[in-house]
Amino acid sequence: MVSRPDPLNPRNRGASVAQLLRKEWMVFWFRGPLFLFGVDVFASLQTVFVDEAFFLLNVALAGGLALYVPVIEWYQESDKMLHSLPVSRSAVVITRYVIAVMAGGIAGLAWTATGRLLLPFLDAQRATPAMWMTLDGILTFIVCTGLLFALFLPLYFRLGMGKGALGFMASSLILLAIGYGTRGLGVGSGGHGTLPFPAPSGLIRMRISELLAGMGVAGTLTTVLLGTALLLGLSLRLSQRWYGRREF
Amino acid sequence: MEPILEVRGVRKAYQGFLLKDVSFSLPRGYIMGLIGPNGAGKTTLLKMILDLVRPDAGEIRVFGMDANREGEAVRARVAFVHEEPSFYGALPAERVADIFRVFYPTWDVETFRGLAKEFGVPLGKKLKTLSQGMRTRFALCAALAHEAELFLLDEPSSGLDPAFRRDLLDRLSGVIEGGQTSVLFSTHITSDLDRVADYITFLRDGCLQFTLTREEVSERYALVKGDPGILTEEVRALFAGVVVGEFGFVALTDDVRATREALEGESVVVDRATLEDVVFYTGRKGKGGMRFRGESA
Repeated sequence: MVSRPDPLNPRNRGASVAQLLRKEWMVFWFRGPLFLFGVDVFASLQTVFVDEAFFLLNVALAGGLALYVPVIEWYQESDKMLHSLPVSRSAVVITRYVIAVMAGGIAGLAWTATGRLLLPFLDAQRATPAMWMTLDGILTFIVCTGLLFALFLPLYFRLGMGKGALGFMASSLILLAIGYGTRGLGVGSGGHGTLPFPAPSGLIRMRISELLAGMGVAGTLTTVLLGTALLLGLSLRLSQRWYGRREF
Repeated sequence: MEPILEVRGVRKAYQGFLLKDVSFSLPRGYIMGLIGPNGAGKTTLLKMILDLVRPDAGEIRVFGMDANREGEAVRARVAFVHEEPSFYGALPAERVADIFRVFYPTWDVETFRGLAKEFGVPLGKKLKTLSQGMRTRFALCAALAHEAELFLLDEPSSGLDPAFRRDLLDRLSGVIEGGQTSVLFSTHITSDLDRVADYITFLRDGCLQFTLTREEVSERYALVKGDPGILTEEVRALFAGVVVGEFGFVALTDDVRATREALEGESVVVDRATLEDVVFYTGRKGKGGMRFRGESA
């Protein structure tokens, strides 16, 4: 007679998110920090003088931190191995979102810390403070990293890394077209919206500046943080649904 | 006793491929060989047992559990060795073993290290620098280190040297000795199955040809050799496949008694068929199962 599994026996349970996080850390720790932060420090020296470039570099760092292990798994086709282990697809998705949030936090800290470290080298004649010094800049960073993961991760979980990246690029272009197409709406003269083509982050920063002007700091903080969390939550649900259907 | 693995009416369609209503079961304490030509559906079937691929219809139960709905609990008690083991290749083998250990509460470090030493796997080296055979040895060490109850092996012996293959077969025979563990072993090297398999499941073009004990295969199938002149349509209908050469034909029959009776008095030789013969000759049903030398399968 084959016995039914005892749910209290750890052998009969799938791996927890904590176990999966431990696995990700073991893979990442081998070379990841050296590679990513080495690249970041070097690139920061080149970009710190250009606000948008320095901002985008650190958004990219968030992406690099979050996707370091998935890229390795994709490149080495380790996903079959991963899913032959006692893990649930749902736990894998949650783990990747937890890592994405952590990566966003680490990249944000790296952004402000590197900016502060390199402050003495900045042009003393700058008329406006760097993005990482301002609340609207920091909130823009949160929204941009949130958008990056909320858009990319479901496509990655549905289509895999290669096709997912292509889908992400196509979706980003559509979002940018919408952003640029509506940049003049509801914006008074003299703001970022009057620029013919602000940087993509400039579009979001412009809206956050409007929120700050209209709702104050507390209202804007609440709106941005809750909005980003909601967006990531919806994205997580979509990823779980799509990843549940994937075959390896 | 409930079988350790039960496949019921499983069906899976891909573009240009259909696995059709496959059903078989594997009792505890036995080794089953899964044979068939490339593209027969062997790997797809193994993936469905692991819930890496979902069947369009049918059901797979492992340890009495649904392989899809209770996949994690199933996989905790299954060891899988893939044809081309691909792990985190940039990591040293020992680090990858540490990753496995995270997921298996029953992982035995000493067993793993002992096996690695016995199998000659250099644990300090990066996996990607090891040969395919050595990576397979590593995967086998991992499979044997966590007290799995069902071993799913997908062409594990193809990259292994003959001496280690024999060791592997002895090891698998040892694994099932307690009567609680089973092995499902997909391979093209059918001589391996002649040595260890208790059951044989034969897939061809997505269709289950049979699930029989090894003895039943030996009893049911035979090679018939004779002069092509006797190959009438009626005689051809007796065969699962025929190869006609310049000087004679070789055919596979799946009904030895009927064939002997039908060909009584004819100058034919009836020989034992190996599993390789069964895979090679079974197939083309068109033109009475005719297959000519030089014609690809």
